[in-house]
This record gives sequence, C-alpha cells and structure tokens, in this order.
Amino acid sequence: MLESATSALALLFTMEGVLFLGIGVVVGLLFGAIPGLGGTTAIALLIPLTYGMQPETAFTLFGGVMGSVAFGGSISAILLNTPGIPPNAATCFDGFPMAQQGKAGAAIGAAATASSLGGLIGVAILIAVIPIAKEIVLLFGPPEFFALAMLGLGAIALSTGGHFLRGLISGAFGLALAFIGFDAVNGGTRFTGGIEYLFDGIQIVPALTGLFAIAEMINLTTKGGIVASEGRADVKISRVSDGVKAVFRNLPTLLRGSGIGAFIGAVPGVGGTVASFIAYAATVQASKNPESFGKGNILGVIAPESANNAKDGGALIPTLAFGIPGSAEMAIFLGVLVLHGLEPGPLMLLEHEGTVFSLIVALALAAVIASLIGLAVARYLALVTLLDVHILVPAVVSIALVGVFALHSRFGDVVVALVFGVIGYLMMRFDYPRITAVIALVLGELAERSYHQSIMIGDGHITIFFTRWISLGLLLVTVLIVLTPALRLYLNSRRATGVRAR
Amino acid sequence: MVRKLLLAATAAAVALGSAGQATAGYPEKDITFLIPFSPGGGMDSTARQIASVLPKYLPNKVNVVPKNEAGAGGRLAMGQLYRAKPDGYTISVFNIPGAAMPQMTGEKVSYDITKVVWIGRMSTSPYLLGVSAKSDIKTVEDIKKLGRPLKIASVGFGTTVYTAASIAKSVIGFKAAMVTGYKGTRNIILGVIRGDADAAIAPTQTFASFVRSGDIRGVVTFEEKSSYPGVQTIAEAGYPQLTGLGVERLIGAPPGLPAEIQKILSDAVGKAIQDPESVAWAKKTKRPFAYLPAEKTQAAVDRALKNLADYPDALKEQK
Repeated sequence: MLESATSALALLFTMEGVLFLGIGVVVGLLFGAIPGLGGTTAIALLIPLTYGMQPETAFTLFGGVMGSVAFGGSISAILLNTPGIPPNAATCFDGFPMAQQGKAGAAIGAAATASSLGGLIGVAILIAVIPIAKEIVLLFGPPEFFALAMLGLGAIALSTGGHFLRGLISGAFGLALAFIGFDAVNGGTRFTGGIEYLFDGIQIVPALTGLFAIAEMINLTTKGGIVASEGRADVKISRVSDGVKAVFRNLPTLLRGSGIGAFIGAVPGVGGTVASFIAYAATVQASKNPESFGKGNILGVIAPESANNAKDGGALIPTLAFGIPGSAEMAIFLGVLVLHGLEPGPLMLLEHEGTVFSLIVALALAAVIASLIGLAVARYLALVTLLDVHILVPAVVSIALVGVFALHSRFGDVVVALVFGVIGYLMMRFDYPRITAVIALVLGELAERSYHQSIMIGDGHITIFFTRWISLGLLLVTVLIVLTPALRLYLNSRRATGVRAR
Repeated sequence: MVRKLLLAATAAAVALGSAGQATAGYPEKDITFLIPFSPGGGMDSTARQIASVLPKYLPNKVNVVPKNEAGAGGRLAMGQLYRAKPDGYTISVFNIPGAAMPQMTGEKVSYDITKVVWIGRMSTSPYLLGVSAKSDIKTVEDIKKLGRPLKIASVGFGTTVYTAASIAKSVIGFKAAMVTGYKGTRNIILGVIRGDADAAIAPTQTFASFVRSGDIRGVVTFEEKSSYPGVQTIAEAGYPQLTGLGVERLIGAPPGLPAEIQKILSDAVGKAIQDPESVAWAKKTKRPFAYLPAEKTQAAVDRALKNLADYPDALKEQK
C-alpha cells in the first residue's frame, strides 16, 4: 500500500502528472463555480480526452476535478447566494450574509481552508478504513439507508432558521416532488401527466439552479444596486487570512464536518448535498448561540465546506470495496476504469492498486492546490459583490441556463430551472427556507426505495428497522433531532413563565 | 396524351431520383448513437467501442457520436429514437427483453418496440444464478427443496433482470420472493453478499470478480458451456429450454428506415465488431461481442417477445 502511494506520488511529480493535475484543478474550479455545471459534467466532457492516456494519468486529471469542484462552488455560494453545485447549498446560509456585510474575503478564506483540510481528512479516513472497508459497507443495507434518509429529513427541523413550520412545509413540497417520475421499486412512471421529460423525475441540478441562482437574480433585479450593500467600503480590505485563522480556531467544527462528510459520502445515493447540510445542522445544534447562524456566522461556512470535500474520500469506500459508486462522480470513474480495460469490483484494490492510489493522491493534492489558488484570487473574486446588478444578472442567468442545458442537452431542464426560479423567488419573499425543499428532493427517492426494499427483505414486517442496531440507533437520533426544537420551545416558554411568576 | 404520359414519367423519374439521392450519399453528416445508460458500465463502454470504430466501415467519413440518454429505465432514449427521422442519422442501443417490457405489461409508452428497425446485435450475455458464498444453497435441487420462497434481489419490475428471474422461476418451478429497487446489477450482487436476499440472477460477466474474490458462489449458469469451473449449466440441471436466458444488446433505428441504409449500417457494425481494435478491446475487458446481422436480430427479438408471451408470469407483478 505504502509502495503504491509513493509510486503514485512519484507519478504526480512528473511533468505530465503536474500538468494534468493542474488542468483538472482549474477545470474543477471553473465548473464548480458556474451554477448548473459541476463535477459530473466536467468529467463526462473530459472522458473522450483520456482515451489515449494511461489510466493513472487519466485519474490524476479526474482526481484534480473531483478535489476542486466543491470549493469552486462555494465561491458562488458566498458571493452570489447561488451554490455552484448542490453540495454548496448549505454554505449560502452564512456565507452570503458575510458577503453582504463585506466579509466575502474572510468567508472565501474559511471555505478554502475548510475545503482543503476537509479533503485531506476525508482521504485520511479512507486510508484508515481501507482494511475494513468491506465489512463497513456490508453493515449498511436498505434498513440503514432508510434510517439515514429519515435522519437527513429530520435534520430539516434543526435548520429552519426559526421558521419551524415553514421549513416543514417546504420539506413536504420537496418530498412531493421527489416522487414524480420513475418508480424504481415497482417499475413504471407516476405523477408525470404523460410528459416524457418527467419520466426521469425532477432533476436536482436544474431545480437547485432555479431555486437558488435564478431566484437570487430575480431578487437582485427587484432590489437593484450591488450585492455587498451593507458594507461597501469594507469589501476590498476584508482580510482573507481572517477566514483561514477562523478555521484553525474552530477545529472541532472542522473535524465534525469532515467526519460527517466522509460518513455520509460513503452511503451510495446520498451524496454531498445531504452531507454538508447535516454537518451544518449538527454545528448549529452544537453551538451555544444557535440564533447567530444564518446571519453570517463563519462556522456556518466551515462545517458544510469541510463536509463536502471530505465526502469524496468517503465515496471511495464503497467504490473500492465492491465497485459500487458512492457518488455520481464515482459512477463515471468506474466507467472510465472499464473504458481503460480495468474491471471494477471487489478485487479492484488488489488488482489495480496503482491506479486507485493515483486517484486518491490526486484527490488529496487537488483539494489543497484548489484552495491555494482560491486564496490567491479571493480578494479579486470578492469584487464581484461590487458589480452592478445590470451587469451581473444577465451574465449569471445566461451562464447558469447554458450550464443546466449542457449536461443532458434537454430543453426540459431549462424549463425546470426557470419554473423553480420563480418558485424560489416566492419562497424568498415569503420567508420559506429553500434548502429544506432541496434536501427532501434528494432524500425522497432514497427513503421510499429503501423503505420498500427493507419491507421486502423483512418478509413484510416493519420490525426490521428496530431489530438491527445501526438502523435502530439512527432512528433514535432522528427522533431526538425532531423533538429538539419543540423541546427548546417548551423550555424557553417555561423559563419565561417562571420569570413572570417571580 | 403522350405528353401527359411523358410528364408523368418525368415526375416519376424525378421522384425516384430524389429517393435515390436520400440514400445514395449516406452518410453525409454525423450519426447520433443513443445510449440509454449513464456513462460507465458495460453497455456504455461496449457501445462506445463500436461507435469509435464504426466510421472506418461507413461509405463516407462521418463521426458516430455517442449520446448518453439515461433515465426512466431507458424510456427516454427509446422515445427519442422513435420520434427521430428514419434517415439513418439516429440509432440507439436496446436491451432486450427489458426494452420490450413496459409495453408488454400494458404501460403507456411513446414507442412501439415491434416496429423498430433492427441494425444488428452487438453482444449477448447469458445469466448466472449466484448465491452468497456462505449460503447452503449449492444446486438447483437445493432451491426447489428450500421449503420457503427463494428471495431474489433484482432491479425494478419490468427490467431484463427481473423478467429473467420470473421466467427461470416458472420453468424450474420454485417459489420466489423478489426484493426490487436496487440500482444496477452490481448492487443486486452486493445485496446478496450483504444478506438482503438469497440469490441474484445477473450477467455472468458482472459476477466474475465477485466469484473470484470468494464472495459469491455460482449455482447454475444459463450459458451453453459453463465459464465457471464446477458450476453446472442449466441444461445439465435438466432445463435445456432455459439455455441462453440473458440479455441481448441490440442496435435499432426508427421505424421506416430505408432498407439500403439498414444494410449499410448493419454491414458496418458487423465489420466494426471484427476490427482488430474491437477484438483486442473485447479480450482485454472480457466483454465478447456476438454480432448478428439485421434479419437474424429481428428473429432474436421475435423469439424474445414470444418467450415473454409464453411465460405470462414474467409479465405480472409479484405481490
């Protein structure tokens, strides 16, 4: 193992290795930062270029993309309230208020540092669990996936920014949308109204681009002016290093975020969006001043950004143990293995150790390089928040819509983005949290599918969820999480009445 | 009168000429090759290999551009193909019998599989019935004597994998309970290793590395000649009529494709598969090609559809 790691490193430090890693990082940053595009699009577009390459070189390129795309996306989340890729959605909560207050530089600094450290921690966790990866993957079956989906949905209750009921309503809206389209359990399609586009369901990327990017642009247009309205004079001098220092001063938040990211990343079909959201919710939960979140608390940037980079290491766990992709990017990665004549499967690590390690090392280095680039240009990027909306809005809207169209060349995707743009704007106006809708949209399918599978595995008995200790434990945590806001409310009101009584 | 006749003849000649022109210069522009699966995976890579050598064997030099149109169990790609002009510039991969299932089970779909014009078969993969290496089930007889339904992990109802399991169950005569909803055949095999279900029926090639790693044991293969030492074929187990049960990977074009273009494409696919580059690729990836020309592909499709009609259980959802 050590030998493979060193030979992978040796490969990386050749001219070719550095070149392709660099290209991967730059492509990843750009595709991450542009709403509607993302790592999957980038890798899918790069695949044809790798036909003639050695597999190791190809994976250096892909590792570069995967390791940098999440940080690229955080930049747009912070500056424009528009997550570049779905896993950056939670970063908007506090990243954008910081930008409005003229602290965009610090926010990007924190995101860059949290991303690179999170990426490294994710890879470290991966390497630590490789010897027992198979056993870990086998511990999680459909009942556990269902419990995890419940946990994710339960976390909605924690992060509704004081609008508990509205958060749930928005979550229910997302859940309802999740059931449109193909039914993976029984076959066939439903709730499509006969529209062929909907057979495949509401796609997450166009929906998210609409809810965040388009909605924010509508919002900006109606307000006019510039993004950093609250602290115009401050923007240029905002110190990036403040953000870097903030990460090191809040190591527990970083470690919690990375741990959650790697863990959730290992669950196939859940991915970075849920990982970063749960990391955010857990940080709010652990904080002594939960009410300071959503108003520009830097911890609200560190937690999700460390999680969505650590998730790549986690996603490699099932990929390496059984050839089961832990994320959309990993699915393409497996495809590339096949393309290059390598066979994904339980023996991958034994048979293709060198190739696998070139990806892991590239992933780790890419996270660091991307952050260094980010830190170097952060103060210039922050100037975007000083751009007049008349220039900003048309540019962002057109780039985002082209991005949405690019992945599948389906016009329906553009329509979905526009429709959700209007819905998102209305939700902003009437103060309904948008992320809870996104989380429910992501998790709805997993929840439904794994529920049905569990019942089939348990011969029709619901007891299967309670007789397996991991699923039982996860469900108990979910109950606790859902009850927390209610409990807090109850305690507060008791304290209040107590004060009055005195 | 003569003038009229002459006019008519000229008109006919012009009409013929233009019809001739439509196919004579074919292909004049790039051909779109729809792949109803995400990038990666067996189908995608097989199709891409063919797409990359196919241009060598077409009369004119054009590109064959693979386009992944995954989603809704292939319905999106099939709908798109069915709506495309039958001019030979849009062709698609099909997975039989899976592609036929939605309409066979009475679902409303925007295409009719019986009207697709077949170009040829790329490959076929017979299935294997595998169990966890820890399982007590060793032979087909063990399954019949199990005393409870055999739990089979599968992707959704109406897919090739599900259909094959239903057919095997009715012919061999054992009770089965399906656990559906897994994403792809690798995941159903993982489900068996994890203990979600007793068995999986999936392409022999997909099982290969799991058998080698010692996680899965083959019980019976639907191949003609077993590629796994010690695993009996379904004929040896006493059910020769199930030999060849598996997936056929075909290439089809929209209804109404002119016969000339069908022939050009069919011949080109046949040659592309024998191209040294393709042969080397197939050997390296252990994904052998098994070409069938157009008319034989049509016969294979007819046979598959008839099989489905013969085993009505496969078309019924199990509760």
